[in-house]
Amino acid sequence: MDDSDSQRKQGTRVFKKSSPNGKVTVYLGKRDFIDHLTHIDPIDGVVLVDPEYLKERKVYAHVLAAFRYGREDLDVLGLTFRKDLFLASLQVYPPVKEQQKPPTRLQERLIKKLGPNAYPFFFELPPNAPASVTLQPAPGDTGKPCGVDYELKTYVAENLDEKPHKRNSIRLAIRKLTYAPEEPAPQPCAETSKDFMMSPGNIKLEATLDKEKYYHGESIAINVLVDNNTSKTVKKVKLSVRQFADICLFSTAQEGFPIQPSQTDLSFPHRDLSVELPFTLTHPKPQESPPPSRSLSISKPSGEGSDQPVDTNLIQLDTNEEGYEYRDDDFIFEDFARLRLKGSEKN
Amino acid sequence: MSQMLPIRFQEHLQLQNVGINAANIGFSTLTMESDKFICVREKVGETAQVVIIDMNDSSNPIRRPISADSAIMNPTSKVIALKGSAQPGDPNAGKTLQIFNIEMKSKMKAHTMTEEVLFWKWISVNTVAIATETAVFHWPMEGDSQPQKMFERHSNLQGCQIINYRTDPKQQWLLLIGISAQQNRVVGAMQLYSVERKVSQPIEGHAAAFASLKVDNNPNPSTIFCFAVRGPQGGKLHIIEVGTPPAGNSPFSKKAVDVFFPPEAQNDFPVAMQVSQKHGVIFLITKYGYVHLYDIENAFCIYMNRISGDTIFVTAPHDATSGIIGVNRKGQVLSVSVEEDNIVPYITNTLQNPDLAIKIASRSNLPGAEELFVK
Repeated sequence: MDDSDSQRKQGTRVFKKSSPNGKVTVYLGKRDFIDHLTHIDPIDGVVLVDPEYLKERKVYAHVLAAFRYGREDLDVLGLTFRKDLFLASLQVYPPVKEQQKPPTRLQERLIKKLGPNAYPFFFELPPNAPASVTLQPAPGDTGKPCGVDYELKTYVAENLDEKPHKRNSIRLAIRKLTYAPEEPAPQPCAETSKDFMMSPGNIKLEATLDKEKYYHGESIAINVLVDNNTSKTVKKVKLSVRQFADICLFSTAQEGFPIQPSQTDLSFPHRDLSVELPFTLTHPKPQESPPPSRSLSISKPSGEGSDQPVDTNLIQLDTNEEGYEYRDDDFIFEDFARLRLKGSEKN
Repeated sequence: MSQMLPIRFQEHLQLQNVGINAANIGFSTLTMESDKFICVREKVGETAQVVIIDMNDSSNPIRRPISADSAIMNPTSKVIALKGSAQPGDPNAGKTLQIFNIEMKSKMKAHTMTEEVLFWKWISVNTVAIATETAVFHWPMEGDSQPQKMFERHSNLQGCQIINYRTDPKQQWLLLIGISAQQNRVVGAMQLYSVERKVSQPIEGHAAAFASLKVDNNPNPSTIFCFAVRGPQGGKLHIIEVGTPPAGNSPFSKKAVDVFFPPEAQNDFPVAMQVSQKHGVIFLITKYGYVHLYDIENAFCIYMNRISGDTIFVTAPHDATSGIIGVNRKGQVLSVSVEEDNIVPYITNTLQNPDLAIKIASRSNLPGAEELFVK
């Protein structure tokens, strides 16, 4: 009734995950919620419930941001090396009148598709909420890496304080990512020179980066100029990238978030001569339009004669690792579980 | 005392409960080549898909996009055969056949026929039978083999809708079945072909099956052909041995018996037949959902009852019980099989036929006739 033909062709991607007992299912339009600096994407979705299963119980949802700062194997005193940074909870079912907000467009469409047992939920992260980040473990570190993680948990309980049960709860690892806009910034450039006490001449070291802002996954091009006017031989030129994170556990000055937007150094830790080139590392700007609908590897056979090779496939068997599901009423439902970041051998 | 039935009736699945649209539950969109898988073609939004239901894991059907107008699953493995849909401007699209291994995600074989494929079916784990307007082919899956013409079609099935194709276990006797509407009645036509003799025989019949089993106390199995017809005169079941009886066997004398249709089922006719080689029993299913059981050696009718209010439009042998499994228009997947503990006492007491009871008990090693032997 409402969608125009052009929108129909696109298909809206929606992620879903069910509780182990299958009685509760969460639907979200995104896994990553972007902080655009002017505003943060709200966390909006619906929960599909089975009222007969629930009986008198309620369905709650919460968003919890926590900082993990220790290794579980160091946990001898029973301290959990986790600090909760942000928590917002609400009752999804039965809906609470005071908490109800007008549904977003996505929620309207999902409710229309899923029926009367789909209930919306809506969270807004505060402007200074910390960004999701994972600190690279040092070699030899075991256990889950440290960092800030966000979890959207949906669970069945009699009241808000009751501990969730695994069978009827759903945990989704979402991310809050900061997107830094495309502002022009000067190319990082640094130079230094050194004179030696016991020999004539000096040595100059100059280093430049091709730009100030890099996105995850991009290559960094460094230009290094060594102007050696001494009689000494330059034996080594070492380059390294270091990411500094300010981790503030017990700050009283700020509101909760421990990690500043990342800053990265490019330094030359040679003992004689070194320069540092600071630059910004961030996530790429999110796409404006919804992702194109899944293109099938089926192509229409061309009108050739009987010599035409029968290689245009009648069935698409490739599924991506997320578990392809059918699209329905211009939704494309996918399992929430993410692709592993490392490339895999399968296509 | 509750009535003891000689059959066991089971509902295995309700297809609408696993997400199949009622509109797609029918002969042209749903196939069941064996009791292992059910394939349904659905159009969901803009996408044509095939839904594959593994009967061992029926609550998790898998869906894949297709551009085929027929999908049939191999009887035992996750291999699917697909036929392309006719496209305007492409004379070959509707003649393209492809076979895919679903687990390996690979295309195993492909072939373009020179004529439209009217009907096709897996006749064994490695052979697909293909019927066109003029001929019937067998396409083995080994290597590079192409479809081989088996016989040319007889004129008796011209103008018929081809609804089935069957062979005996050795693929020496081949049978094509079609139906047509004539004078307010559905007429069945069959073509029986002997590979050895290279001759065809046209037969009027609606449903048929082949079996290989020992009958009449013979030392070796006989190849038995049974078919049922409802003609203007009424319903009949014929049971005949085909081919030369094996050495050491006495020939099986052919049997014929009336097939009963109740007065309120004027337009009913046989639609499916399966043989339980284990029990020596023929299952016959009619369009209106009645099941009949006949003893294969003497054509005796053991039992009749209505098991479905909706047309059962596809059946297959049900291996676990040596029975018959089918799907009706409502999406109910049901099976009927011999109730081994009950059938002999039922024949003795309810049918009052101790001779048959003894015969079945000893032939198929079933319990319940011990006291009859003493008598």
